[in-house]
Amino acid sequence: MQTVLNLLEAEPIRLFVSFGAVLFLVLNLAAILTMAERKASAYIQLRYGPNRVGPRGLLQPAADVVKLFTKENVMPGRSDMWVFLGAPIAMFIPAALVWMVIPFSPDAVVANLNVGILFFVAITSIGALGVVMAGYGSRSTFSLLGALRGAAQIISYEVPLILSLLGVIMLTGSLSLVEVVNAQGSTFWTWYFLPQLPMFLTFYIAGLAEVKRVPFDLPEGESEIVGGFMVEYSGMTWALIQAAEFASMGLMSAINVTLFLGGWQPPLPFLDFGPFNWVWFGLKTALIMFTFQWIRWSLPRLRMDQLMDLGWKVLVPMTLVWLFVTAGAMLVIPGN
Amino acid sequence: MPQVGQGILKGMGVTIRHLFQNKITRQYPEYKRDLPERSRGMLTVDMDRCIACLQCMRICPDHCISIEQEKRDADGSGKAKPYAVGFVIDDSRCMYCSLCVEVCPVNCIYHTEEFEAQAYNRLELARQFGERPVDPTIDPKPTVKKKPKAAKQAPKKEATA
Repeated sequence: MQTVLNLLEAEPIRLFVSFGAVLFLVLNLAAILTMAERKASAYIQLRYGPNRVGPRGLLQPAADVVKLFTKENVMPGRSDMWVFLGAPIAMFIPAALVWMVIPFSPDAVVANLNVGILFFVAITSIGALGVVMAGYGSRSTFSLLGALRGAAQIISYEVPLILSLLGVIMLTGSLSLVEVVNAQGSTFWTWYFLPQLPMFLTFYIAGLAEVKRVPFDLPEGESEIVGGFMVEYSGMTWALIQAAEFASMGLMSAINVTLFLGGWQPPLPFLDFGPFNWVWFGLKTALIMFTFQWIRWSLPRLRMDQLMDLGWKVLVPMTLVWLFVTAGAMLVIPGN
Repeated sequence: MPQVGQGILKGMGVTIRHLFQNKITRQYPEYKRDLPERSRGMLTVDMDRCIACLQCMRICPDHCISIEQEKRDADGSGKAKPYAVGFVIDDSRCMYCSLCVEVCPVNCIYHTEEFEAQAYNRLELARQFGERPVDPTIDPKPTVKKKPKAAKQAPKKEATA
């Protein structure tokens, strides 16, 4: 047993094993989230949702996967094949990659980068490329409209997203996600969501926009541009786009939890589970993911100009002001 | 400024309350609603009463009823009467207009409460009632005796004159 563990610790093997584990987690998360999404929407609308496959319909994702694998991949006649097929991959890989730097517990982090936050910011921006590729590659008007909206939205909300991270970075003095969590302590009132409440709200809203979820789902825009950038996709390519969306939604929740809600830290010191503290990380992430779904089935979609107004006129000034407040507080209050 | 976000919170409150309310969906195959009176289900025929008058076959707008007729002394009265040896209702074509039910002089064709017609093949939906199967794919247009054209135009002339 010990030799096996030592072998797993050896460097190239550890990387492969943990990469496989993260990929397994992300793909399963996507499947579970599709199920959770359908159930949550159904319950909010006083329906039951899928309840035929397996106990309480819990095997529905498996049936969906089988269906999607057997479906034909239809491509528009004049589409640009390589761009069209590359877009889902360009969307999925960044979403899966950032999961590598998320600390599930002090020891369970694949790559403990000292620039983890920078890595997150840099890699999630690539997701916009996938959206534009999907829109241009399918050579369809709806797709192109969705892609243009997506590009504008994602690039605009990148600004408040990054600015809202600066407060946390200033307080911690480090870009490492493990350091950020360690600095927050194991009591819930020392987590950063209280001193950085405007930043937390900004990050939450900008994160919603970044993963293209309601009320910021203009790139998809089901009711106006019928599906936006993914209107031409079918079968497994469509499934990959969905998986990427759900993976990035889970990722945004995980980053929310890591930066503002104390990561794996228990809310009160006596609830410390030692090596099983990843349970806290999972619970908090699940809570944030549920709020994402709750918002999705409650709020209507914003208009494009409202979206831009919210981003540039509300969120960016708010983060800038709070940056100065944070800096002033750090100057005045000693030992912070 | 004080009412910013109030609408959002109100809406979110409504949805979270719905999340825990009892669901109103009726689970169909387990729970079936009682059908209303005179609801039109799939057709059926009482072959003992059928007098093979072919009226249902003639009135059917979709030509979904086909009858094969024969003269036979079925009731033992010593007189050969029309008798339906083959009777088929093709449910893949029926539109439940109920015209055949209204036109039947002996009330032998009527609607049942059965409405779940499904099959893997369109031909499986044709239901045979007679002794002999009838091909449902043949258009069962009965031969209609054409009236002479003169008789049709005669009243017109009188009206104009």
